[in-house]
Amino acid sequence: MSRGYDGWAPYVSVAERRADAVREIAVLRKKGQDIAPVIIETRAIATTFWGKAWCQNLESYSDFAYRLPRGRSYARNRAVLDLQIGPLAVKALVRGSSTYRVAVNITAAPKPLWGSICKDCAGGIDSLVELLQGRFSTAVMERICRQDKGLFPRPSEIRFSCSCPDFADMCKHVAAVLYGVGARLDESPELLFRLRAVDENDLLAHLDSGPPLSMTSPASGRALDADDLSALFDLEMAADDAPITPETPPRRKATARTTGRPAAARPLPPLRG
Amino acid sequence: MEHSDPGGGAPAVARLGLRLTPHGRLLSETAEDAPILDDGIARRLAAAFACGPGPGLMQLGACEVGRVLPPAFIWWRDFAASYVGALCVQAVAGSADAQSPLALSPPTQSPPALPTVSPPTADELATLVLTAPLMPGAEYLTPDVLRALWADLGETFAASLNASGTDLQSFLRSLNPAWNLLGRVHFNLAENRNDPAHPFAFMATFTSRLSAQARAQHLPLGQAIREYAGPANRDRLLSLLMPVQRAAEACDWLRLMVDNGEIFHPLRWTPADAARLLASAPQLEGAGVILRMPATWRANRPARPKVAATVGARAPSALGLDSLLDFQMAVTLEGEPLSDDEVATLLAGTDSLVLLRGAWVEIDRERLERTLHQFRDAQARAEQDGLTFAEAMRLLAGAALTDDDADPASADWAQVTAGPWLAETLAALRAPQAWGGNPHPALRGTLRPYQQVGVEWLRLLSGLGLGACLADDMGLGKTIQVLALLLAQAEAARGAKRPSLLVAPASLLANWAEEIERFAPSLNARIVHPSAMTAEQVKQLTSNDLQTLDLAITSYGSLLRMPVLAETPWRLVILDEAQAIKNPKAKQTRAAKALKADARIALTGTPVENHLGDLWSIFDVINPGLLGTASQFSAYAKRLAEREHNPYGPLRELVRPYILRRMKTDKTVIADLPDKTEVTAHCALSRRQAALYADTVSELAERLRESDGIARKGLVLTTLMRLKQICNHPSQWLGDNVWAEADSGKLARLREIAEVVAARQEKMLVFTQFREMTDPLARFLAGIFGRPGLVLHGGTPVKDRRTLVHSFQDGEAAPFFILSLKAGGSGLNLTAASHVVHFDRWWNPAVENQATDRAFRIGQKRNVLVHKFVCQGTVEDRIDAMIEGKKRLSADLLASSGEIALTEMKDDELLRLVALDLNAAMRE
Repeated sequence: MSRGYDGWAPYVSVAERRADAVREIAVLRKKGQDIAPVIIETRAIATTFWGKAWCQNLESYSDFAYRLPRGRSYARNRAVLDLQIGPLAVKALVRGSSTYRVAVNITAAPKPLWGSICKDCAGGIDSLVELLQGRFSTAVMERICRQDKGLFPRPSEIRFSCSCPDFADMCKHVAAVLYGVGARLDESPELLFRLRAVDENDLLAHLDSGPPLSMTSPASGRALDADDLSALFDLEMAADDAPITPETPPRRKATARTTGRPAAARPLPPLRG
Repeated sequence: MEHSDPGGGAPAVARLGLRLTPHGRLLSETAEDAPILDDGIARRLAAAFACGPGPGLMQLGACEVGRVLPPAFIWWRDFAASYVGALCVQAVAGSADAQSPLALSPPTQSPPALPTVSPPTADELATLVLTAPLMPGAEYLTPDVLRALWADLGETFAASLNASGTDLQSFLRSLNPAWNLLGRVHFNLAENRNDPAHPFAFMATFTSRLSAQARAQHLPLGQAIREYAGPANRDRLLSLLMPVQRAAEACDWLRLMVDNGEIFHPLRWTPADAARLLASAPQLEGAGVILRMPATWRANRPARPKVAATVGARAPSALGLDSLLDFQMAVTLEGEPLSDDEVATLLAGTDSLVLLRGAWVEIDRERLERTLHQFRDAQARAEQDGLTFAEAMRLLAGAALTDDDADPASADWAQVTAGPWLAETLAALRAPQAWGGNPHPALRGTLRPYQQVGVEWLRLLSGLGLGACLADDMGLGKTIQVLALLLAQAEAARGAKRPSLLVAPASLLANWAEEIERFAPSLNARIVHPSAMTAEQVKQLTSNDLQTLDLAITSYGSLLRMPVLAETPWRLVILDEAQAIKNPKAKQTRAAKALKADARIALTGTPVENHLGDLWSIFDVINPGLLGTASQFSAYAKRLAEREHNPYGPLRELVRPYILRRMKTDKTVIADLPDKTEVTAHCALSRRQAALYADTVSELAERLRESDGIARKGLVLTTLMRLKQICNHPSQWLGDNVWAEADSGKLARLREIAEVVAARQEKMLVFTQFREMTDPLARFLAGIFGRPGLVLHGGTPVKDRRTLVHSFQDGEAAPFFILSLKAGGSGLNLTAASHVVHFDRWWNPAVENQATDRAFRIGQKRNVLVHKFVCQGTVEDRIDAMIEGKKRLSADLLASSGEIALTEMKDDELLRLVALDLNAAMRE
């Protein structure tokens, strides 16, 4: 089975590694463990732009640069047997020469940061429309994944530990898990909110706190100052004193709304393919 | 647990086409030559059409707006969308009465009611029919069919609205957001004459409610957004923002205005700003924004200068496709010519909106200049060499002036109209009128009014040297119209006689000879074909020999084998069953095209104009150059297919003067048509049939001498039976179960008829008195129709017969029904068929008529064409003549006292009756 090279650790082919991982997954399952392996089918770790952005974010931090390539191939070879993303934490099992336990802890997103994200999302027409439709798709995710002011953690906001004997600060198993998170975000971007302990409903709640979108007056020469718009445009204008819809003052929080459309409480899967 | 990745593959495509049945039902079907659609759209449409034309049209017109679709679908979408559009207008008016103008929340649940939408006017419907899409069954499109489909749409909408349980507006919105009635974003543009630096004003508004007068009330966009802030109005906010966001995605200038907030305020605009809005109109409308332009602008756009040209003001000196017409051009605005100075002013500026004669004029300098240039070129050429008739016709139809003009939008900047002479000529071609009186004294027989119209139309076109395609339904007498034309020409050209050539499939030569004998015996016609001449005669035939004739008749095959036909200059070349030349690469098509003639006429019963390729090939033969070369034509057709509306209208317009199609069902044109037309279909014998037949006859001659009494009677009857079987098919007599098509002249003839019936989606009945013929016939016809039909014979259980009759009458599945006469003869009602074939003859007209009347009964709406098969030169032929002869004496007499007493004939009489006339029997 193995082709030993004198004095070196035996070479293990990719196929063998994968087969080993599959066996191990089966064993864990047999034991009754509810595990969620990271299975990457494509050459890239992630295929959506937010999944990719997560990985790019990792790679932009030079502190991690040394161990990342090994972690990347571990992840691609399906070494991440189990990956669970919960509030502020990732727990994972990674298969190396043995099966190791990895824990990654991430700090909560600072309130001002989350506030500015909510404000920006409500203020751009593309993201606003997505939010009103109850989806997180391109525009919202773009804002959330912005490299410096988005939801992705900085190195200083990440702590990790691994049960392997590697002395290095970040071992390949931890790196594989971080890539695994990127792959998992592909399918379920909402896990990012769990990870940073923010409530995505805040995005919508923000809409109700005042008129969205910027409505600053146009440059002075451009503004039309006509007395009778109705005559100029030959149309019937709604009277200024027309009773406006019974206005509800902004509430504390947009909890279970009754507006017919399921509000964004249930994030729909983002656009794919 | 394998995780499968759904992404990666190319988007799936499906082939789906539309077909109109003779009953006016619109179906979708997958077919190999159908256009390719996006898979999702195809699935939705197929599912909807499977529920009926109404649901299909509703899906198409209400839900698939804005999608990329093939031309035929676009045409039907336009039709259905005009219904939905009209419904929206009605709905706005209706809801104003129902609820207070200020209520924003939906009214309390009242049963949803659908306003009735009156169909388009007769004129509008007629226009729609004239621009029918190219699709199978397009010939069945009539104003009545459209009216019925409109009603069908109405019923579908009513039922779906009822089922949805919501009010009409929510229902319309659920079909497609574009149907939002209220709650729509408007971009309003106005002329602001008080502000010379910014002569335009812009304001984005939102229509939120109706005034008491049922007019939509506009709110400036910014005000509307402020009003809809808050969780209760998210849906409204969304319906306001979505069109703006989608539009901003398509237009960068708008994105800028949204980002900096300008869009929420009334603005002063320069002509350049306004022009940018105009240029983005399609994208804005596609995003669901409604554009409102100044009321003085017609058609929601500023006036455009057009390059207008007039062709054919005067009659040309010579006629034909090469005849030369005059050409004059001018630049016009709203129909008024512009002076050279004004044109120069227009072309000099840089803005695309120019104030001219006190009104804003839109101008695309590049296109205007290019069009102007092309037209000046054309004028120069016309002055020098003249404009050919074909070129003029292509110009008129909006076909490209030159090959490299691939810009379909140029058509918006140009307009070609026919001058007085050409307009009059074309009007005569499009709506031919009959001559008064009977202008054809030499014709034995009377032309029906529509036939006179046809003859006049043929005379007019061929007189102009133009090709004609006479596409009347089978049974309407294309033959007699052609013969009347030929007689008129033979008479007119007494002095300088020039022959015409008729080319037909070999199996039809006998029929033509027969018809000439019957209707135009004075016509000096001759069959120029190896079957009618010795090999020596064929070889020695020269052009000079042909000059003495009025008409030479030959087969498509002979065009290739007899070079003398290609050398002779003909007056007319008439191509019967012109579907024979629908393949441009086929040798016989090229041979037909190479014939020299003043004018060509194509005759066909199949709707060739529904297939681009067939249409081009036939026109390439009859009117070479009119549709351009094959590559020019396919480029032209491709450009047409990309048009957003009415894709093939210009093509229909281009070919309409040269195609005349009357249908049996068209009672307004053919009010005097009898409900039943009987024709004798003369069939040739195959070599094998002839040999077997000759053997049988000589055997009879031998044995007659030795027998008498009962034995003689038996001999005569069995021999006659055997001859009938041989005439049907050698395999029927031999029992060899081979049933080769080439062995029977009747099968060849049946194929020709069945192919036309199949192409027209009609149904046929086939009667035979032999049960053993039914299965071979069923197999043979199933091959032609591409679907199995039905068979009924004496062995069919009585309880099954009802089911068979039902499925033939009601469904669209079974295209043909084969009955052995005795079984078919009693109590069946088969009015779904429009063609009846008597594959063999009973020799008793009463029995035959009874069978024919299965198809022709009370309740029959279509004209029935009865084809009686007769093998020429055989006993069938002679008995047919006897029956016909007696019939003329008294139809009643024969109907009561049946058969001709053949067994009582004397030997020599009998032998004369059955003898084989080889010359008549063999045509191939």
